[in-house]
Amino acid sequence: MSEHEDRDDGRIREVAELLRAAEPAAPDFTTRLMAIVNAEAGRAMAQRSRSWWRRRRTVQLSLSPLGALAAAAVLVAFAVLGTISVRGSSAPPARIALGARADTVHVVRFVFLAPDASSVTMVGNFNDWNRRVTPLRRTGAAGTWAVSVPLPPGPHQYAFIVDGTTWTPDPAAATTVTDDFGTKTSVIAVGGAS
Amino acid sequence: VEARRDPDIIAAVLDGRPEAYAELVDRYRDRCNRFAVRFLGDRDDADEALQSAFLRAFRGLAGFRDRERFGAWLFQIVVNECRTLAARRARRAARFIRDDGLLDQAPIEHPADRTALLAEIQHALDQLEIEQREAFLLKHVEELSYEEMSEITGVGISALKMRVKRACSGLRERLDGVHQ
Repeated sequence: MSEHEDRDDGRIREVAELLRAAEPAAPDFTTRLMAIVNAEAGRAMAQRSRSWWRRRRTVQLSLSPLGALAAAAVLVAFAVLGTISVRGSSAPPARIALGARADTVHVVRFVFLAPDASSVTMVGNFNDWNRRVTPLRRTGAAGTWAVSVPLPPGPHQYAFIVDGTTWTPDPAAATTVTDDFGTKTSVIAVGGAS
Repeated sequence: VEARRDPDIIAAVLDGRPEAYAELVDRYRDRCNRFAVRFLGDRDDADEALQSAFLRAFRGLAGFRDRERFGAWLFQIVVNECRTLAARRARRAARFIRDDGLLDQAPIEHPADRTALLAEIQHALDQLEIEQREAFLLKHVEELSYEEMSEITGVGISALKMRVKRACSGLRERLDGVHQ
C-alpha cells in the first residue's frame, strides 16, 4: 500500500486523530527537571571554584527507632566500617551519626512524615532524579514513610515526591539549598566525619 | 510579550543562566510527552524517558551548533530515549509469561467513549513491533515527512514506508470489531 493509500484509510485516520489528542507532561515536570539542571550547573561551577563542597561534615539524618535497627542491619550487610549511634526511643526523629572512610558505602535511612499521602518516592542525584527508582514504604508508625538508600561518601541532593506530583524538600534535613529557579532541595553529607 | 526564540534561550543558558532552560522545557515538553506516552503506553515510563532526554539535551547544549533546530534535535533525542527504554522494558517483560488473552477479554464499559477507545488503540499500538510503532507515530501522529523521519531514525525511506504499512495493517487487524 502506498503512502497515499495509507493516508486515505479512514480507520487509520480516525485512530491517528485520537492519538493526536493532547497528552501534557506531569504538572511538576519542569520543576523536577530544573532541580537537576540547576544542581548540575551548580556542581559544574563548584568544581571550577573548588567550592565549599570539599568541607567534611558529620552525617545527621532523621531516623525512627525502628528504622535505626533496620539501618543497622543493612549496614552490617554492606560491611560498612564506622560507628553508629542511635538515640531516641519513641517518636521520630532520632539521630544517627556515621563515621566513614572514603571507600565506604553507607546505607542511609530516610524517614518522612506524610499522613495524607498515598505514595512517596525519593529523587536525588544518586538515582538520577528518577522518581520511580526509590519509593518509600509505610512504616509501622502512623503516617510515616521510609526507605534505606546505599550512598557513597559526599554530598547528595534529594527531595521527596508526594503522590507523584508534589516536590517536597526534607523538613528534617540539616541543609536545604534553593536554586535560581526557586526549587528547594535538601542536602545530606554522607561520610564527612573522620 | 513575545516569547524568546530558541537560539536566544540557548545563548542565555550557555552564558551562565541555566534557569533559562525552563523556557525550552515548557515549550517542548507536552509535544514530546505525547509521543513518549503513545510510544511507551505508560505515563511513568514516558516521564522517565522525557527527563533523560531533556537532561541529555541540556548536557549537549554547548556542542549543539544548529540552534534554530533545537526542537527537531530534542525530538530526535526523545525518540532515541523512548526506543532505549522500550527495548529495556521488552527484555524485562520477556522474563515473564504474558497472557494478553485476559486483557483482550476485559469488558469495555462504554465502547463509544473516546477514552475507552483510546485505551483500545493504545493496547493495539503496544502490541506492534517497536520499529513499526515508532514509524506509525512519527508518520501519522507527529505528521512528519518520510525525509524527516529518516533524519530522526537514521533508517532509509523505503524501510520506513514498509514499517508504516505493516503498522497500519497490524492496527487494522487488532482493532477489527472494536467500535467502528
